[in-house]
Amino acid sequence: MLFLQFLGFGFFDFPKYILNPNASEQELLKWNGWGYNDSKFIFNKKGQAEFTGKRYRLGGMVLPTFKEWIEKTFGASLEHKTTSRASLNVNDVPPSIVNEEFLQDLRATKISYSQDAEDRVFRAHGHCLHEIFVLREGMFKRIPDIVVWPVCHEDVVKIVELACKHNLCIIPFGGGTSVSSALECPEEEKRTIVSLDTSQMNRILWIDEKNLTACVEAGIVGQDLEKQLAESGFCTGHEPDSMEFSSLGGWVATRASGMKKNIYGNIEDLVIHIKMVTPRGIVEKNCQVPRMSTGPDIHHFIMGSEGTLGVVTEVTIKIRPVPEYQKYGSVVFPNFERGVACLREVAKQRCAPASIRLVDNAQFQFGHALKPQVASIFTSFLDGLKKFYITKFKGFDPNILCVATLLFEGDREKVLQHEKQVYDIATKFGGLAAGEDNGQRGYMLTFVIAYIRDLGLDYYVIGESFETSVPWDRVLDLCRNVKERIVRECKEKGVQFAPLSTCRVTQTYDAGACVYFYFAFNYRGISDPIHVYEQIERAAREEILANGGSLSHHHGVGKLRKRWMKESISDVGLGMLRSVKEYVDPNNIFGNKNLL
Amino acid sequence: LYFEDILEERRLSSDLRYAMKCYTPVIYKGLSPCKPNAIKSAVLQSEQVQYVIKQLAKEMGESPDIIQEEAMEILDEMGHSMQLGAVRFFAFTLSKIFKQLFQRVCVNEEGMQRLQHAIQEHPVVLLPSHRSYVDFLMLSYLLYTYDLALPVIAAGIDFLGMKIVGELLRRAGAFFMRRSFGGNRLYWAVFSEYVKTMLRSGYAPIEFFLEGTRSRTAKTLTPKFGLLSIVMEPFLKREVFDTYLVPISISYERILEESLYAYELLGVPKPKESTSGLLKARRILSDNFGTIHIYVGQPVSLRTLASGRINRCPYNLVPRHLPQKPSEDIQEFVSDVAYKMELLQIENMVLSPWVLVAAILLQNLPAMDFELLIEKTLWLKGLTQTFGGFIEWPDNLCARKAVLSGLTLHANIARLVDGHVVLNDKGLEDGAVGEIVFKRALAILMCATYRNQLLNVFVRPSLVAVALQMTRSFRKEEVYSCFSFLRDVFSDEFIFFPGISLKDFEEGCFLLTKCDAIQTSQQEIYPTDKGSVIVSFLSAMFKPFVEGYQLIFRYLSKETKEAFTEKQLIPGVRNFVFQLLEKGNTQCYEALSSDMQKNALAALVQLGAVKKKKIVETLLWDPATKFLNSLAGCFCLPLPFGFQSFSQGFDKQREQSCLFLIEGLLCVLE
Repeated sequence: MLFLQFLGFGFFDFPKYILNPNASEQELLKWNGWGYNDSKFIFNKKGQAEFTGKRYRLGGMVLPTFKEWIEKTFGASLEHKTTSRASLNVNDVPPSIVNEEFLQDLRATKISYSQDAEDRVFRAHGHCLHEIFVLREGMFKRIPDIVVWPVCHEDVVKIVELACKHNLCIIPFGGGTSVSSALECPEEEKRTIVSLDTSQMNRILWIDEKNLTACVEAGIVGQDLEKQLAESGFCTGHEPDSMEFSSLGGWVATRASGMKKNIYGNIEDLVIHIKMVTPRGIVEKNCQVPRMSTGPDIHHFIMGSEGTLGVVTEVTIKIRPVPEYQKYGSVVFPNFERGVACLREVAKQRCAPASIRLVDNAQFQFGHALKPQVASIFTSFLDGLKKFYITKFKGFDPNILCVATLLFEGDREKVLQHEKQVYDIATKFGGLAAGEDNGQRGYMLTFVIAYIRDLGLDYYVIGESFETSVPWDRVLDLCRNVKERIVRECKEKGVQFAPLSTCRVTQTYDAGACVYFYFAFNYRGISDPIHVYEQIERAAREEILANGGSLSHHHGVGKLRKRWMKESISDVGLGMLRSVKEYVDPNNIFGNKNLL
Repeated sequence: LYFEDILEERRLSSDLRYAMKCYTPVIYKGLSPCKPNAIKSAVLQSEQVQYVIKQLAKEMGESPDIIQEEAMEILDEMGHSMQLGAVRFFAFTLSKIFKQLFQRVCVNEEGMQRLQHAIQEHPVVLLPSHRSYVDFLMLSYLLYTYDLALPVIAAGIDFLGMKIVGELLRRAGAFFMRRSFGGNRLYWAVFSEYVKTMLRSGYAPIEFFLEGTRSRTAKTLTPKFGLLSIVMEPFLKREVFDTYLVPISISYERILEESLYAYELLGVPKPKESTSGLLKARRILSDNFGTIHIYVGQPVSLRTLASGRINRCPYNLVPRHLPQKPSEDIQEFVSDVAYKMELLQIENMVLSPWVLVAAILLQNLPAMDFELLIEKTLWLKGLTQTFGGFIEWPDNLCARKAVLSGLTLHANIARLVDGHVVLNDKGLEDGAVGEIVFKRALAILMCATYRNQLLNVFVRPSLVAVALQMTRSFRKEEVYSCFSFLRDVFSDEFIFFPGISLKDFEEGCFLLTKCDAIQTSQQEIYPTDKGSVIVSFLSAMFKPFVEGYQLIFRYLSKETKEAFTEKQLIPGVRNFVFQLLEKGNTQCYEALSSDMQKNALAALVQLGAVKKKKIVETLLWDPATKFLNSLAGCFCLPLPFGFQSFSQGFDKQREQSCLFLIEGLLCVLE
């Protein structure tokens, strides 16, 4: 569900985390951009790009070629800068309208709450481009009136009961990393909007080592979940790129997908049991079993319901022992076509490593621009030699070749065996092993890209990512057509400089793949960049659908992609979902207007 | 607008050097070059063809290898083997021939520039009009001259009957399709995959004639959809980002085959394509055929045409390599695109002054005062331009000279005698009545070929004019209903974009208003005082068609009782009309034209007045044989004449008004 795919543990140095137990997560995070306050791209005094902070491996490093890449790719110039407002102007914020009777009832429950402007604005948005743009330059028309922090399932039950009693609107809030406009408050909502922040429901309730399951409160954030499970030697292996910030409940509500789904599965494969509070009452199953045949699986009403039915409070999730060994890898292919053919073969033989991704040439160059300054002459000599070997000796065109990045996981021996199998297949498709480092850098791009977007915003460059899933035989056509469509739409809409329009095949399945696009352009000379941006994004989505791609693989629908729901699941399908909503929440307490 | 004469350069420099010039064409940006044989094997190995081979093998209990062999044979028969050597040979010989035959070959320069861009950007489909065999290699010649990628050209299999020439054409990029292969799944799969493979890879521009065959009358023929739907498919399935369709109008000041066509229309069969026939035809080399104008239209993006039209991609739920009958939406779309392209061809077709002369002459037979002819020609020039016709008339050329040069070029059709222009009536006095009628018909049909070039530009305002005269009413509603009926009746005769009768009517009215021929109010239409000249000229222009159809209808209602085949109908009508002409009971020579007879019949079928039945006697296995080809539809006519509607959705009221009008038509005649 994240803008950014982030990368694996290899990039985190856990011991370096400084987590002040007294400071709330909110204070550590940017109010008008992605991620941590202390982590961002800047141009240092020498005009070189640098990533600040110590949280990430890239932290404190100088990226000598990055500036040139930005200038070349976007025609952007460091001299033309826009600046965001330094801080939130409280006077702009819509007032909090909450009726006193409700407040009295709420106080009686002893659940913490806030009507503070900053708290409310923080929960009024996700991370779509237009939302960040509003934060930097404007104000949302409608935001939550009040934020509540339940600490357990029972608190949620009480809040939902009060909302029903007073006819309020609840919008559940987990990590706030939505990229589907799912967190935006419907402008026309007249009732008090309660933002139900699940962040204080963040305990692991129990771990069942015999069945390898853990029962966890839904507000827990991905990285905390993995960290805490790791203390007992376990992990879930679920790593969406947003896992630093996104929550377990959010994953369930959007049907999230993790980078390592080839080993651990997507959220629907991981979940054993869900408890959800709805206006109608609590919905859950009577047992925690691997599978049951009791009519349609009610979990599938919940997963992907995007906060329209209730609040997920507790989830029993599968766990695995922490793997002994991890290894990155990469393969260079002469062109994208060969690369896709290789991934298809890997999927066919069902030997995909924990993660396998194929980035196109533009994204390969993007990743290359993030290469830190090399420490020694020897390394730079080696780099030169590698480049020579691939381009001159093997005849790969540096402007056409593409790269697959790999992540293997498991016990050491098996990993090495597995690695050999995959490289053997790659060889058949003209692939050349290109080292661990390239692989690692590929994954790095996915987690820093949201930080890069913030940098771009300072220099008239706006961008976003979007994704889809598509059958294997249409992957190439879809990638080519969507990228081309973006370029054309930009031209038609008066964008002066050719946009960055790039993609990668980011997940493989038996019957198809998940494709991820990055799209960014320099908007100097355009009066309403967000409108232009949205038109182009819409055109790109139309193109995806026309090419046999899905509306979304894992970002979800939210309000951003609602217009295509009928086309996606048919009238009757939509009616089925509506009737569930009608039964579960007849008064539309969960009124975020997502999905339907 | 600037036309460049490509022969000018040829007359100044060596043809041999031109043929041997360094040729490095502009090609499609995504092209990975390959040899003609590589395409064939790609086609054979394609999922599409392999699927059909397996299916057929299963159904017939044959080994797939045998069917694969058959597919290979089909490919060998069909495939081109483009070679630069052959292209250079044609570059040389065509230069010689064209210089002999034509004064000038003119091309719109900007069109070539647009084409150059288009070829690099997306796969390109060239859609030229088809008036003559000369069309065939004309575009290749042109693209060679301008250093653009040479097209592969869809040709009828008949050409393969020509010794040496067939193979030469193959090497110049022609690929050959059988005339009819509806039932042969293997053939269809191989053929369509062959075309699509070339298109997808951007191998070469694909050229074919929407009209399917040379128009013998110089009127645009209604489009054939088969090949068009094949070349549209890669885009509809999103295998390519876009496809450019380029309408190209090739017009001849004098058509090479003019007299052959006239004979053919009168029932003297067309000579089979043969090399000896070609050699015999070389005597025409001493003749002058004036100027050719080629207008290369603006490339039309298929993506733009489809946007908002094809919403939910119908191909998403079935693997793309499975043969799939296009949905009704898609079929309708293909048909709309076909008509649109033909209308663009018509719009851009260059008209010579002679076309105007022919139109006037036909209304003033047997003889017309020369001065009056000049005056009228000038008048018609203005009218044609008002209607959007594209006349090539040099600025400084006075009308007298224009008419005279037309008469010189077309001395075989008309000539100047004692200040009067008369049709060429050599040998008219001596000979039997029948022979006189035949000769006269020949001259008239030849002359009509030139007038016909005006008709598609004139058809909308003229049908309004005809409707005004027929209804003798000024009520818009009535005029429209008559217009709409005429449009239906003539739907195979002229090119109308499907389903926009009202828009056509409004356009017709608009053009008539523009030339001050009529005035309209909310409810009424009436001719102005000075407009009656225009209105009667326009309706006289279409009179041969109205009368011709009346004769054909009368024949059908009075002379035939039982079901008949097309083979019986044509001579039947011809004899019927012939007799009337001999007795002097009609002057409508054009009703002898088999083209008109076929069109009328098609219109009747469409209106539900005649029902078409296919009678299959035996189940044939090899549809490739000529036998299937000749398995004609059998028509049966309900009694007395079509006064019964067979089409299901035919609106009752509409039917009534049709019947009324048909009766009206018949009455007017008697």
